[in-house]
Amino acid sequence: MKFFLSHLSASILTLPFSFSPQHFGLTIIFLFAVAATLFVVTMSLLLVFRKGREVREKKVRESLSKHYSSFFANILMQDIPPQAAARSAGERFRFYKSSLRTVKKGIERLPKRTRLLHKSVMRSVLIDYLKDLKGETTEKILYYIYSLDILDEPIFMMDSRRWWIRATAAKELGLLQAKRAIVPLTAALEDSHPDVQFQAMQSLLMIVGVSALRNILRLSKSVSQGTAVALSVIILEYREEAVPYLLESLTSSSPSVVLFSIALLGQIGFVSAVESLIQFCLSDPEPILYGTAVETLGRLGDERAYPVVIAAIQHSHTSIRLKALEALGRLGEKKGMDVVIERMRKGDIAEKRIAAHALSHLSYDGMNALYELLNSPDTVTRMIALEVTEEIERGRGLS
Amino acid sequence: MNFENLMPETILVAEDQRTILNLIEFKLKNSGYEVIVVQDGQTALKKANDILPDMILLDIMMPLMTGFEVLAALKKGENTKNIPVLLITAQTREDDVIKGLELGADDYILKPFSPNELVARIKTVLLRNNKKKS
Repeated sequence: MKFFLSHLSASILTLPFSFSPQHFGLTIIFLFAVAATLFVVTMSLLLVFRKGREVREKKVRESLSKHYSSFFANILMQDIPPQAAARSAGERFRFYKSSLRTVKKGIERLPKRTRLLHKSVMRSVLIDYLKDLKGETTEKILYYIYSLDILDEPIFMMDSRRWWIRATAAKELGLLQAKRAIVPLTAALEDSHPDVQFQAMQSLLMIVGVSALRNILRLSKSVSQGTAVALSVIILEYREEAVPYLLESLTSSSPSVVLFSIALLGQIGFVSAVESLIQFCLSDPEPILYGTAVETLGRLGDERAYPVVIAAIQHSHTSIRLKALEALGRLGEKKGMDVVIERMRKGDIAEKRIAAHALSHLSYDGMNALYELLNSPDTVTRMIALEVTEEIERGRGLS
Repeated sequence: MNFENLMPETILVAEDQRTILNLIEFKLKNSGYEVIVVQDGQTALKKANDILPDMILLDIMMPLMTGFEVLAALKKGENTKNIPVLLITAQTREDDVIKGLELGADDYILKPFSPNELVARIKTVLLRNNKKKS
């Protein structure tokens, strides 16, 4: 056995140096195998080391989280002494400061890396409390956030080269209601990544309230479909308070921002938007914006919109004509009935169908006109008139 | 002498989120209650049967058993059916409140909530229940 091992080690040691042609291929394979083994071993060690560090960090985080959630719960639930509660905010803040003294001193002594970890855990604990609590505790939590300097890290993270880090930071700053972060969050409205933009929008609305919409709509270069859906849910909560900002943005240079604002104005349904939308239509905007504005005017149901809607029915662009016919149907008055009948006679199939529906909404006279069109010399017009009248009769239980 | 009146009332708090659970525990202890905390539905049901608390604070979204399942089981149990239950739910899930009240909950509180309001609601529910008993 001893002999075999010494022979093997000797041949392994001499193999790389034996450059005879018959050994050359073997030497290359050997070197490659050694390099591959070293690589695999190093990578595995690195992975194990990394995993171990992650597990350790997770454990430390968990234990810190328990510690700080208990610590903050305790000081949050401490009743403010009546004399401090009744006096100025300064008195109350002095009381809040006294409850933080020990923990502040403790984290100042820690090495930088550990201090950052402690602050990060404190931040997530305080975010949890801010999310679930309101009333008397909010002032305390906001004081702790500022006093413990835990906003620096997420503000710094807003400059990260990785978009997901910027998005997380933007979200955290909103949850922390960090007024100090308004500037970086406003800058993030022009971020290259839509998720960062959206988180910044959401956070600004949380911190500043509805007035943040002015900057959001002014600085956003575009509103993606996903952002539009999520953002409209938030804006719709403000309802008419959001209208002035949406109207302001009708002059935005970004078509997607204008489109978003018009669509939201229609959903909010506040008639104060009618005059601005009429002026917008008269400025001859891009077809898609024009069509959406006309559609919104139809939704708002104000008779001041008739001239614009009727003019749009005669527009050269088909999609605008279709939206205008729909809008006239929604407005539901017989003004402009002649124009609708004309589109019913001259338009293409899609136009005829929408015109027929519009006629059905234009009171008794509109229905009469639709019945007369059953005798139209044009077959397609006759068929569509028949289709729509039958549909209506079925709806009324007449057939 | 009625010693029962001198004993602090026991409240079982079932909430999976550690932070908010800690806070409720501190607040209720400061308000003079004896508090027992659990972090999942199954343990909540077991504890309720074991200790028969004076009241249960039940979060709806919990692991192992949801608040609704715990509530339904409590209302079926002979010993637990009369324990008043106060539900805790998120503001965005107001439909849950209706479901919870139909299942027999006595009151509810929506997150985010004020700790003082929580204590006030607990006092009201306990008072109402004590009157019912007497």
